[in-house]
Amino acid sequence: MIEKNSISVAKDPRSPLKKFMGISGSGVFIALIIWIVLVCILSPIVNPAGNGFNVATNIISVLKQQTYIGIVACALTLVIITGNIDLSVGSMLTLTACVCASLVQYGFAAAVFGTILVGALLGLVNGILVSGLQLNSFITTLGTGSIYGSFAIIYCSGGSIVPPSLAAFEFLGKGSVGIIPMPVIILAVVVAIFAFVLMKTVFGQRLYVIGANPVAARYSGISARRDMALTYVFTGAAVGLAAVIMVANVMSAKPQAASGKEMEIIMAVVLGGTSIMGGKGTILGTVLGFAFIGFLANGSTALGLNQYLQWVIMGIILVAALSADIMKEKGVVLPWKKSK
Amino acid sequence: MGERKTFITLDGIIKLFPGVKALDGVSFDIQEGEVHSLCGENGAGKSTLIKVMTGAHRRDSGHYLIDGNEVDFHNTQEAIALGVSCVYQELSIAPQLDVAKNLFIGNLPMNGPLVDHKTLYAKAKEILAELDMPVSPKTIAGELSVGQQQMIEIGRALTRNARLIIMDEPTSSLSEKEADTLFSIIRKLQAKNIAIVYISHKLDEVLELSDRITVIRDGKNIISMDKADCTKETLIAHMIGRSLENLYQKEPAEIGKQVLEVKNLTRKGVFQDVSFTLKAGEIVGFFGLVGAGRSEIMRAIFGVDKYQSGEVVVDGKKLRGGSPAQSIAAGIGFCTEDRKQEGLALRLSILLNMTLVKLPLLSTLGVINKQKQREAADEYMKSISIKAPSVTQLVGNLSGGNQQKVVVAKWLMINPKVLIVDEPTRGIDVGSKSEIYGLLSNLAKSGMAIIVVSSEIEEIMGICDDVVTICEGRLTGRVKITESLSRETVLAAALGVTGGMADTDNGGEVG
Repeated sequence: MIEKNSISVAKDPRSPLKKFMGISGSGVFIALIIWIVLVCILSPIVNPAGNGFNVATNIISVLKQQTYIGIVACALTLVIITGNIDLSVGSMLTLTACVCASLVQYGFAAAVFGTILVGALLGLVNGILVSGLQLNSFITTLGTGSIYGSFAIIYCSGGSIVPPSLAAFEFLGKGSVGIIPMPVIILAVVVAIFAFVLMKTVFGQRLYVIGANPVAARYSGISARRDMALTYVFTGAAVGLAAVIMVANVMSAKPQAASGKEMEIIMAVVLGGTSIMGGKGTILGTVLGFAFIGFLANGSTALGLNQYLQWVIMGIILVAALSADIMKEKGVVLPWKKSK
Repeated sequence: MGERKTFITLDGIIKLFPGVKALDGVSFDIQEGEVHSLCGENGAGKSTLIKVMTGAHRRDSGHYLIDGNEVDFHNTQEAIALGVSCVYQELSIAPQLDVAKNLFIGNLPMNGPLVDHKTLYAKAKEILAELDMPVSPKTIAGELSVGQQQMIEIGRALTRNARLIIMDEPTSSLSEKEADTLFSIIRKLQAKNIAIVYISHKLDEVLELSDRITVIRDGKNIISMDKADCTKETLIAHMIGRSLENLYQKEPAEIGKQVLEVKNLTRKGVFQDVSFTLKAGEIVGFFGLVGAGRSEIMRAIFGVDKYQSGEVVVDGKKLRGGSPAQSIAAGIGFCTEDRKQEGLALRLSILLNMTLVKLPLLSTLGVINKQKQREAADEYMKSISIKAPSVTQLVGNLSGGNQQKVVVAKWLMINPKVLIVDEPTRGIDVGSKSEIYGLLSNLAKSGMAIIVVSSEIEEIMGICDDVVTICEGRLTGRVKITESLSRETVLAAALGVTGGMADTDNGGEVG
């Protein structure tokens, strides 16, 4: 039992490949490359009439499709690093989209900032329940998710909300600067902000400690509760921003708008190497995670794969990523790697 | 009682852990129906020995015979099957289940694929009667007192037809009355020819109960004695009798003004009326046995635990209590006893662990100055020679001694006025120990006030100016450490033996 970690380390004895694999997100990076190569080779064979799979144009369209998921996944990465989870993001996205659609009539600022504020408040509710009352985050956000989803249905009274047209607002969803669509630009900014917060700020670094060892955090004078609550507020705000882009793009909101999206969002984070046990993860990993999910859907279409088959593949990959994560944490030695 | 049959023989048991020889050739035997006590200081190897006996650890070499036959347990179930059971210090009661199910947990009487409830409750009733417990087998275990829960654990061993029951500090959480009940049960078990291995720091109990006593020190059995040949004094002498190497490098430091004052600090049921003062440049050792309340007092001073009354004053400023952040700001640093649970985030880098407390000072408007952070960490890597390829290395990959240095560096970075180090050298090798002692001595010379909490008496005698003894939540004395101070005196005070130490008038009052 004692001194499991007492082997003296003189130098890092790992091979460069193992070192690379130790970086979070490296697994999904390799999977992404393999998948793209596979699609590039196979798509002309499957569909000889087409032009093949153009990676460059597909990157833009994949990122645009993945904007909502990407923005929320970045914020959710913070929550998961502290060892918590937010299952309510899908319903929250639906509810804030409905709110956004009905705020457009009051002008650009109301639609954008009002929605972000509503999102932040919904996130605050999660934050207070989880860190203030110290409830289990899985159960709590499962519950609030159900509440937020029902609110959305009641709010829309079953139908959909179509906002009046507003050019400046619509530009956020449909416009582009040069060849780059606005949603992708906003996504890039969000990615940059969260990467900065996580890597460069005291707050961001504290989150890792809270996730890796909450007791040690407490003994170092860190108030974990406040920090954890903040991660939920950020997630709520990010959901609000995602809702704005979503509504601006399709100019309507309905109660089914984002149902089930939480699974894709959590998948993106976890595939990116963020540990569900907390204490480990990067925004770059999350970017690779949602890019992979996007390319999986996009490439499957190019190969003419059934949509449900995509979900099967995604499920298998997620379970594999999770088990790899847990086995690494627990130091499980795979049977074929056991020394005699 | 006549000639007894030997049940278990241990011969030359060796157990190695990376860097530590936890057991170094332990030999002793246990006879049927005897109460055999194991005594030794913390870290002497008692727990490892128990774990080897119960199958939780496998021995690296030596012989382990039961009824004269060599055994090699791979897990605790195999040991239980041969009659070796253990009641650990931490109870393993399932509080939601009833008493009967707790008694037969993992061993429920079955009727085909179903639990045979009738037999279960009938058998449970028998066991409870044997234990003199006036409770119904259908009582929910969580509603029982700690003492009764412990009885259930003993009962569980009986359901498995135990021939030996090992009891590890069984009275540490019992009231006096509950302890008496336990002793009478032990007598009853003995009459049924069940052997007991009894482990306790309370030497009075040991002397009252045992037929024989074996003292373990540094992983070796020093002596096995019949109770008749044994006094408390001889026991203590055997427990601590190790030679002092040139491990301690304490240089005299200039004693400055008072920096810490603790007044009548009380946390009900944990410690009472704790008062002492600490001056700049002083190293004061707090000595007491496990469970005496040493760490609890320190945790309260640091603000991790709350206290009901009393006050902590740092440099003239009274602390609110219950806030580590405030204590840190006031200038207290706390290297905790359990570095893996409380001191470090093992999965994170040396860099982040080491600079964690100082981080706000290494940043502007919450944005970390990475270069400053790196320089600060590199400086301490060098100055206290932490052996690691780089500060980006995960702390979990370091040796125990280097991990401990990271914890110390974390606190040194904020240059505290008072540094509390709880068991600073537990589980680390002799080389690192010596370095940490040298470091503490230097810090005192530079004017830091240091509290060393330790259950190793040599450590305290070696590096401290004064020693404060704690027994059952109370300070029982404070004396200056001199050549003439005997270890027996200090240990006696910590064990609460009458008389205790006379306070010398150098160091402030003791409550």
